[in-house]
Amino acid sequence: MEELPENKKPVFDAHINECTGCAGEFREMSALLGVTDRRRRPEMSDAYWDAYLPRLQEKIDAMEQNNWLNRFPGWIRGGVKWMQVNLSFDVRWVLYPAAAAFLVIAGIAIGRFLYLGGGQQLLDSAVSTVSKVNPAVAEHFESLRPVLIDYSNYSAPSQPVLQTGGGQDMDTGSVIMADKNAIQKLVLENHLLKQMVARSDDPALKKLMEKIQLVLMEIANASQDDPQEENITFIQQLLEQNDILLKMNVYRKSTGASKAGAKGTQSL
Amino acid sequence: MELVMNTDIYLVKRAGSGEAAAFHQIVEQNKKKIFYLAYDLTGSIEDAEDLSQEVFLKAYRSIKTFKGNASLGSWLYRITLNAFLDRKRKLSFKMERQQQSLEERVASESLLDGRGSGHSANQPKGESAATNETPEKYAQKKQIQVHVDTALEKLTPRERAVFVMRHYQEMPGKQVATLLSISEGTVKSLLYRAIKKLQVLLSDYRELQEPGITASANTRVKAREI
Repeated sequence: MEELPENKKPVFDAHINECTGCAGEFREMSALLGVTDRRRRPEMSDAYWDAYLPRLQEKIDAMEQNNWLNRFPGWIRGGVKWMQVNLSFDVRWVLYPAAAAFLVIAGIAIGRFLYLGGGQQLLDSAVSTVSKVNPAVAEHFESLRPVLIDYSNYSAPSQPVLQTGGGQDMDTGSVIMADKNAIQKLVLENHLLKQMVARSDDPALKKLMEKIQLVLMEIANASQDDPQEENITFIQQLLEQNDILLKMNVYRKSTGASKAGAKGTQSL
Repeated sequence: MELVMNTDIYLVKRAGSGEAAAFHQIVEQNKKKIFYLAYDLTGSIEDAEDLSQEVFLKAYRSIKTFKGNASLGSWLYRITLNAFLDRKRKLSFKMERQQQSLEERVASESLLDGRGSGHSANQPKGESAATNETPEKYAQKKQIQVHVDTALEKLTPRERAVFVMRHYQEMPGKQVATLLSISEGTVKSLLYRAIKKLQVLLSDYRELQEPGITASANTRVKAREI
């Protein structure tokens, strides 16, 4: 208990004897503290104190049973208890954020699996998003389609084609009919449009334009008068392996391009 | 003091590592101290039991956070004071106790006799109430006790905590300030307000003083730095 220092007590006494106000207040305070000193604390029995710890232990056991940790399997509980003993912070601050992060990552992984699937689905979804295809590209496809259909449908004749003078052919099987100037125009058109498409964010369309350019270059390089079988076969393979006609069809339908207005195709 | 603190730290480390016997020893060493502080704060045996057990539960949960900067007793005192102030904030004490009339309180307090005779808060244990008192004197003492308890309940939680710590626990102002995380000036201010309130509430008893004690003797015996 703090007492007034010995050297200050004479000063205090002197003031109390002189100042009636302070003396009165001091007297009242002393009287009050005398009254409050009469308050009695209960003296608890020995039996009460002997039972104190067991009562406390019951509450501790109940608290342990309701512990959040009991919701986890035994091996997790063991690990957490080890951390609680050996680490200086509450491991819940680590476990709960870790569990939340795991749930988020798992949700993203499940979502990607269900809704994105493999590469083909990705390509298909890209191909199907055709709402932004430039009308010029659609018109280009419209012009290109008949040419590519002819190449795709070509089958080698059983006998050589007999060519007559004057540019007329005798139909002895399926023949390729392509105008060299028209093909050149298509090649140039494709080249320009490919550059335009390259600036867009449609990777499937970009890839399609590249494949079409390859096909057109093959067609352009083939001799008009004597289209080589191996060239045609190669062009057919390109068309088939890359589903070029199908994809062009999808784009064409999505933009509602007119079937009329095919350019640069002439029958020989 | 240093040796005691080292022992405390050793005991706490053992308790923190899961040793039940060490924690039991902590409880056994401190249960009476904490119980009576809880009683001084709450004024009720039931609430004191609840509060003191809550203190030890909190100590059990957070035993690892004890850094050893203060003694174990001070740490437990701090938990007790915080738990008391939290409870008061949540108003979880039995409100009907405050509604009881003084007469009912006097009657219920007589049940304490069944647990043993009381001892003065500021008297050493063993100086229990005299058994050769007249019934009238005994009843008067009981009445004063109830009135003091009722008056203490009228203080704010912080005023009561400061008054109890300074007067009944006889702690220096600096220690009270540390335990309550307030300044010494605030401790003095709270104590002054508590005394002024109690003077009004216990004005019927202000003429009561120990017989034979003069004013000058009071300055030697009762003078203390408020």
